[in-house]
Amino acid sequence: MTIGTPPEACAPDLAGLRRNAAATLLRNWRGSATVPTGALYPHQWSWDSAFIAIGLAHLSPRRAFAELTALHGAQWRDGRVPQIVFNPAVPEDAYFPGPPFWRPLPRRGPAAGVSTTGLVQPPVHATAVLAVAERHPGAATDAAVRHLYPRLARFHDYLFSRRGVASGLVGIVHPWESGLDNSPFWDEPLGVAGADLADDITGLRRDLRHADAGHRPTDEDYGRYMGIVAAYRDRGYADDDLLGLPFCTVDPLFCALLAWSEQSLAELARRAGADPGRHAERARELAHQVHTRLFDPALGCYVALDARSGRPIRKRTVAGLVPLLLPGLPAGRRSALVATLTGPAFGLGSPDVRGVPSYDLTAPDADLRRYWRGPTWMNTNWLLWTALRLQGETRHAERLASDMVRLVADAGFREYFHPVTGEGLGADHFSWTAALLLDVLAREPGGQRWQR
Amino acid sequence: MPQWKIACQEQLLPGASIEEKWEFAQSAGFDGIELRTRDDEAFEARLGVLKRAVGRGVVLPAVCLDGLALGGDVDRCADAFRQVAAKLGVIAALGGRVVVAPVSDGRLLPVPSQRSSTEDYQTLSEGLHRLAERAGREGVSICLQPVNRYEGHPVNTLDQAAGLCRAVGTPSARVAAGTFHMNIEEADPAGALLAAGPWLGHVELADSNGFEPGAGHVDWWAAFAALDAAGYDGWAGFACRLSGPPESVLPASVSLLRQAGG
Repeated sequence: MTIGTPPEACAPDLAGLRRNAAATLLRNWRGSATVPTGALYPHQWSWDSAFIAIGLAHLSPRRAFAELTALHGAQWRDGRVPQIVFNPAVPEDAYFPGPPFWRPLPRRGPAAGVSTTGLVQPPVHATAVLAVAERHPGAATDAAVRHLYPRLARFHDYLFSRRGVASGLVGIVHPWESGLDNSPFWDEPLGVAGADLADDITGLRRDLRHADAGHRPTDEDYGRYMGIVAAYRDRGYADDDLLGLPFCTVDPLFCALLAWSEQSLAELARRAGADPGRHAERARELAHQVHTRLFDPALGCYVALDARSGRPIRKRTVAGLVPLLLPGLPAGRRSALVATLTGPAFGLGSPDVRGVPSYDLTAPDADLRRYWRGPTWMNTNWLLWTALRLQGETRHAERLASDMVRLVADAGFREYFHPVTGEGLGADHFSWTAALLLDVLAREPGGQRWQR
Repeated sequence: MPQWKIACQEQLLPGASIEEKWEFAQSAGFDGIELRTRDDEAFEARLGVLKRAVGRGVVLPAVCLDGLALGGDVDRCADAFRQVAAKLGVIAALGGRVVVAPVSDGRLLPVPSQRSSTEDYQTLSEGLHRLAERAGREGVSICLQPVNRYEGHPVNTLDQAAGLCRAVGTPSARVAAGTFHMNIEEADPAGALLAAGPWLGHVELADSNGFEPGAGHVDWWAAFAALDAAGYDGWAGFACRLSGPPESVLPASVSLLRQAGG
C-alpha cells in the first residue's frame, strides 16, 4: 500500500482547477443562493449550501453569508431548517417531488410565500458559518454571526428537543435526511416501510432526465421514499410520535455532524455575546453517546440504529467513519477507524482506490456507480480529510487531499466518482465539488507536492 | 489569485506634474496611471511631456476617452469615432495598449433613453469595425465601456458590448467593464464579468455610489473572483470620484481591494 503519494506522476493544473471551481460556483449562483447544479437540482439544498458557503468563503465572504442567510430565511417556526427551499421562479414540475407534493405545510412551517420541503438535512451549517467567520474577521462578519447565531441555535434546539430518540441520540425520519439517500444503511428499515407510489414513479421522476438511471436510486427506492414522506406530511410533519412513523433511524453521520456543529455553535455563541456553555455541554454529551453506543468493534466503524426496532444496522458505510471528526475518542478508537479507512473496505492510500468510497468495497451489494452505494463523493471526503487533520493523521489527510484534487482534475466537477476508475458520475458542474475543492486547495499548502 | 495591476486615473492623484502624481500613486499602492482626456486637442499636445514621463519610468497602461458621444446620434457618433482614431497613434507612442471608450450619449439623460437603438447600434458597429482595424495596426485595443441607461445607449450591459465585439470580429475590439454602471445594469455583476471574460480588455473601478472602491456596496470579493475565474490578466483602473482627500482615501481603497483579492 502506498501512502502519502499520488498514484500518478502527472501534475494537475492547480491554478486552472481553482479558476474552474470559482467559475462553477459563480455560474450556479441564483441571486441569493447557489443551486447544486442547474438542471438536476434547480433549488436550494440545505447541507449543499453549508458546503458551498465553505467554498464561497474563498471567493466572497458576503456571498458565503448570503447563502446561509437565505437558507435560514426559510427556517420553519418550529426551528427546522428545511432540506430544500424551492425557487418560485422554477416551474413546479421541474423537480420531483416539487412543492405540490409537500403541501400543505403546517402553520409552524416557513413564512408565508416561502415554499420548502418538510424534512431536514445533516446540520453542518454552524461549522460552515464558523469557517467563514474565522477566515474573514471584521465588523461585517460580526454582524453576520449575530444574525445567524440565534437561527442556528433554534435549528439545533429543534433537533435536540423534537428529534431525540434512543435516550440521548438524535433521529432522522427519512433517508433523505441523512444526506446519503440510498445508503445501504437504509435498506432494511426501508424494506418494512412500504412503497405507495412505486407503480407511477418512473413517469414522475425528473432526475432521470438529467442523469443515467444506473447512477441514481432505483424506482423501488423512490416509491418507498414517497410513501415515507406522505406519511410524515399527512401527520402535518409532527414529531410527537417518531417511532410511529414508517421510518426512524439514528445515523452516525447526522449525529456526528450535529455534535461537531454544536461545538462550532459554542464558539459562535461566544462571538455573538451569548452563553456558549449549553452548546459545549450538548456537544460533549452527544459525542459521548455516539462514541459509546454506535461503534461496532467487529466492523471497526460506527453503525446506524433502527430506532423502531432498536437494532443496529451493521454495515460499513462512509457515514460510519465521520465520527472521527469528534473529540473525546475512546482509547484505540482513532487507530481502529484509520485501520478501517485504509483497509480493504475503503482503501485509502491504495493505488487501486480513488478517494474514500461511500460503501464497503468488499460488500457483495456494493454498486460502484450508483449514488451512495459505492461512489466517492467530495463532501464525505472533505469531512474525512478534515477529521484526519484534526486527529493529526497528516499523511493520510495529504493523500486524501491529493486523491480529491486528482479526481476532479481527471473527471471534472462531477457529483460523484467511480471509486476505482475515477469516472465522473451523476451531474456535472456540481457546486459542492467545486466549493470543497477550493477549500482543499487553499488549506493544503501541498501544491508543490502535486506538481512533482 | 493573482495580484491585479491597478491603475488610477490621473485627475484623482495629487501632484502638479505627471511625475509627482506617479510618486504618490506608487506610495498608495497603484501600479500605473490611467490617462484621461476630455478635450479634442489637449491630449495630442501633451505627447512630449508624457513621453518624457514614460522615459522616467512612469507606467501609463491605458487612456480613457471621456465625454465623447459614441452612443449619440449618427453625426455625433461619427465625430466621436474620428476623435478616437486621431488619438490612437499618440497612445501607442506612449506604450499604452488600451483605449477605454465609454458608449455615452455625451450628456446626462433626464430619463432612460427611449430612442430606437437599431440605427445607433448599426452606426456603432460600423464605426467600431473601422476603428478596431486601425487600433490593431497600432498594437492598441479599443475597449467599449457600457454605461448605464441614464448616460447612454444602446450598450448598457457587458453582454451587449461583447455582442458588438463578436460582430466586429477583430481581436482589438474589446469590452471595458465599469463597475459603477454594472451595479445599475447587471442583474448578476460577477456572473456578467465571468461571461464577458473572453472579451474583457479593461476594468474601470468605482463603487456603487460613484466613489472610490470601498465607499459603496459593490462586492469586490466576488468581482475579483469572477475576473480570476475568467482568466482576465489585464488592468483595472480607478475611474471614480473621491469621498475624501486623495491622500487618505486612495491608499485605503487600494488596501481594501488587495484584501478582497484585487
